Amino acid sequence: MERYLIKRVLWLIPVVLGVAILIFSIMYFVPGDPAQIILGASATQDEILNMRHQMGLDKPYIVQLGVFLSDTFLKLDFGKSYVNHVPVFSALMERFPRTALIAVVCCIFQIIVGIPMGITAATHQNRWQDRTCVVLAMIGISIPSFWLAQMLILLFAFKLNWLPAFGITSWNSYIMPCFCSMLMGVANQTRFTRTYMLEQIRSDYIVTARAKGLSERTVIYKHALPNTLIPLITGIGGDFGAALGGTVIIENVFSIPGIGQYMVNAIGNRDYPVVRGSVVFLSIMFSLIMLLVDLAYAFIDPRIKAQYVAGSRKMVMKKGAHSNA
Amino acid sequence: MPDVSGTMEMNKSLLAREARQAKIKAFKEGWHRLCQNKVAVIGLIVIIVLLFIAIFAPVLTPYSYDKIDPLNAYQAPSSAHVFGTDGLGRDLLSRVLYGTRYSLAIAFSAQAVGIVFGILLGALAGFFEGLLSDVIMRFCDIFQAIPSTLMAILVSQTLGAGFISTTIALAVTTTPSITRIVRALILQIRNQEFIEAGRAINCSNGRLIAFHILPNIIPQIIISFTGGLSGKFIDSAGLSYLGLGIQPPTPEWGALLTDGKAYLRYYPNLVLAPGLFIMIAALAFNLVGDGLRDALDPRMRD
Repeated sequence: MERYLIKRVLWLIPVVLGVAILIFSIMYFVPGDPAQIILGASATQDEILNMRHQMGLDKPYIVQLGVFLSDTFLKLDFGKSYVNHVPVFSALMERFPRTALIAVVCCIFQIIVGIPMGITAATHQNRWQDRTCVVLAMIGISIPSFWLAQMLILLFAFKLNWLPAFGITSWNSYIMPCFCSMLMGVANQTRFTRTYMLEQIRSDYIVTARAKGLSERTVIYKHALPNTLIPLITGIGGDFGAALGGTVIIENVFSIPGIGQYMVNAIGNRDYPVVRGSVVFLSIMFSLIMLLVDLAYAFIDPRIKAQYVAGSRKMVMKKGAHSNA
Repeated sequence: MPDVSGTMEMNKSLLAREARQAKIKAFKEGWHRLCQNKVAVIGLIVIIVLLFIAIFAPVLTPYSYDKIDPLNAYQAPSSAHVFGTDGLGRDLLSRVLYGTRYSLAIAFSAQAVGIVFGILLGALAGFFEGLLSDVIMRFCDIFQAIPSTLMAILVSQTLGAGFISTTIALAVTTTPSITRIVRALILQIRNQEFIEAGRAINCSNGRLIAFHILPNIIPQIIISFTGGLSGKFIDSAGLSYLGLGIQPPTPEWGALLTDGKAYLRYYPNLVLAPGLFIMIAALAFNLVGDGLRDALDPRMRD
């Protein structure tokens, strides 16, 4: 078990490094010369060459990559914005709480709304409860969140004047953004829960539990639910990533000063250190959450432990087979 | 001797015919089950209508999609302009109908490109154990550590706006998960007897993968393809909304939304109409996707 935990934690390092290298490499091929962008169109050739030298852009790819990695991971220096020369890392830290708040609220609602809806649907298969949940979930996964956001702004902000349309003024500024970002996740969670629960309800051990004369309540909540929850927990990490990505668009609709808005504005200004820093930062956050979920999962699911023991035994056997051959 | 080989030939062709008939029967059964699912049939009809609109857009549209008419700018919906007109007096209905072409094309091509690469990498990773498989799967780990919306934004801004770059940006987000699915499926079947038999008669690896393994995972691939299509409609519109992806004045649905977003307060019809089309298309593909999953996936049968 400890070996699994250590292995999983250490695996984070190559993944995060790989993500940083991948993002750096993609951004390396962005057309346009950063020196030209900073200096503007009126700059002379000499000024541009000078700037390129200052920024280290005249060095080969591999050197630039090395500098980027050591700055990012050893000094936590994500570079400076081309536009206002503010360090990217401090801007990210200032904005992260707002993005994280939306993403966390999304995940919480997914769990406290999506899972009960899925269970209700599965335990009432083909009855009106099931049909209602299925239809709602189907609509939820089909509505583009940014379009829904605009429709809600139109209704609640422009027509009814109940909620602010843009920016963050008080807690009620978060109602519409959170609702729009969570809809897809809640709908997906409902669908997954329903599918997993139906799978469990059809399995033999549930028939056994019913045959023993257990009450339907015990059968569902004591026997089927724990087995349904296990695959759902692994999903939560991925959902958090989807929520982080989804807030990028929602923040732009509602003009919320989070990382998503920072990043999209930077794309418009071709402010590449900001774009790169935002993606690297969010991806690292995502990887950390995935790690936490995996660790929690290993404690919850006894099968992981068993699998790991069986896995190492298999490896030993395989090695034995090789040496025999 | 010729006698024996003749019998063998006959047996072989008989077996081949039986196998083919079994396959046709399986697909017919699947189709039959799909047709019994009323909701899926409605979705299918909507998709056929959308395809029809996409193909015959020039004939169906009441006005040309790019005809500028400043005198009739910002008209409310009326009998002359069913969805009203935009800031340049262009008929919104015509633009939305024309947009069907671009939106369907983007969603289909992005999904197709993503799946083809996913199958290729998944087949390699599933069939060949060892270094190649490890390298492919570690790459999947890294790609999936970046939230897919961010990945699409990143690729899209690097490649610039336009049809092909949007297709690639959306396909990149599909490939890793398809690779995983295909690899898992292949790991399940690669040790079965018919693969061993294939090896015994000296089939090459390529032949084994293409003619013996892949046909067995076609149902799951169809499910993944349709299941992901609706997401592609929403994602491509999202990219356009952020100013990436397809750019105005191309009448793609997302680009139309972008065009209209500044006038939301006073001319909501400019945002309402394209959004409704995105939603209807996504809904139709989700319904058919669910129907296909129930019809083709043996585990889902009651």
